[in-house]
Amino acid sequence: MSVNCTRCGAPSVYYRPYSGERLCGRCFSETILERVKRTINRHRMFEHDSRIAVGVSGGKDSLTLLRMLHMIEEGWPNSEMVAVCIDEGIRGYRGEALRIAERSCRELGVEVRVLSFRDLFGETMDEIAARDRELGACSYCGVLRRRALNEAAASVEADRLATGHNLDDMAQTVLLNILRGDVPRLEGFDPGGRELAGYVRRVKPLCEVPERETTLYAYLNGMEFQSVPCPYAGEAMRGDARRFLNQMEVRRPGTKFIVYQTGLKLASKDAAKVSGVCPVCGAPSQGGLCRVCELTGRVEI
Amino acid sequence: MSGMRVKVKLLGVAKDTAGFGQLEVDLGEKSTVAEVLETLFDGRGKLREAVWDSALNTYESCALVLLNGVEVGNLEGVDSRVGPGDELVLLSVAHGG
Repeated sequence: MSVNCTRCGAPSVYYRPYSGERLCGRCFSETILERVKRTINRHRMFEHDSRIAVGVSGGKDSLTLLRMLHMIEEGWPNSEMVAVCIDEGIRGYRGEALRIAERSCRELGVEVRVLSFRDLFGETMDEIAARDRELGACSYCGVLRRRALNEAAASVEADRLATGHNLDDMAQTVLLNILRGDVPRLEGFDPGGRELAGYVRRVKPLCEVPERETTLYAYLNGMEFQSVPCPYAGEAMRGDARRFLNQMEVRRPGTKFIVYQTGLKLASKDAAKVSGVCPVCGAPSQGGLCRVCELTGRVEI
Repeated sequence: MSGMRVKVKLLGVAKDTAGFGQLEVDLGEKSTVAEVLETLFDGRGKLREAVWDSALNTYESCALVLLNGVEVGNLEGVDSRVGPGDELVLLSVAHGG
């Protein structure tokens, strides 16, 4: 028999190792929502009349984000929400996820806009992955998906793009940037996003919620689970960072949050802003070709 | 010795890896969550790899395990006792989404 909930005294269902709390299902869900609201406020993610594009992939994080923002947005009648979904064209994987995404949006009454890699870049991720390439599939997919999300958000006239990055993602990013010696990226680490010309400001409201807890939230709230993993996921260096951080978190609960907080401390308000435009597509670029044109040029699309 | 039957449900990537979403497992009278998992993993190496961290000897770094709706970290972990008709849910914490 489990111990009573730390907050309300009802039978608890979850023990939170990094805080020692024992929580019933309802209080667990409430603590997640409270944390997301605090994160939004701390990083001033939205205005009262923001038009928010929510990146929805069909996975548990983006579905949790969609549901939470829908609940929060009900208290802000002048703000609006539109879901944007990107179809990378990964056979056997994205189809199931998009079906779940579209169904969830319909149930919440949220408008959906779907854009595909084929629409935007003329190729699917499967076609890109099948070619001779220098980099892992995720290196192409990540860059192209970010561009696609930006295009989708701009096409629905959003002034914010909210994505479902969780605490695990954030801690992995900090660690990866250290492992790669990518100081500019460390300096630009900001879950509240920055105003950059040509980009819809990107915010990450779930950035302080561990992935284990977005998963439990989705389960306790009856959300559908995608079962098929991305076939290209094994290629990413991020997998190494994930495994290491997962093991450290078991040994030393709270590790992921400390790494994330360190990332915030290392970030600089004066991080280099994008100053030029890409000569091929006109998108914002540090200098010369943008990363999308650089990568798609390399695979000879 | 009389045995008992326990229902196991797989969700997320665990379901795809195993190739099924639920299974009934027959166990001895005094069994624990660890024994349910061992029986489940027997002959299913990929499933074991997906939800069990052999370096740390735990599921905690890659999955959630719920016994009758309670995450077993809130009970006695994998040493938690199971009873006849109990339901175990094995839920992968998979990246992406």
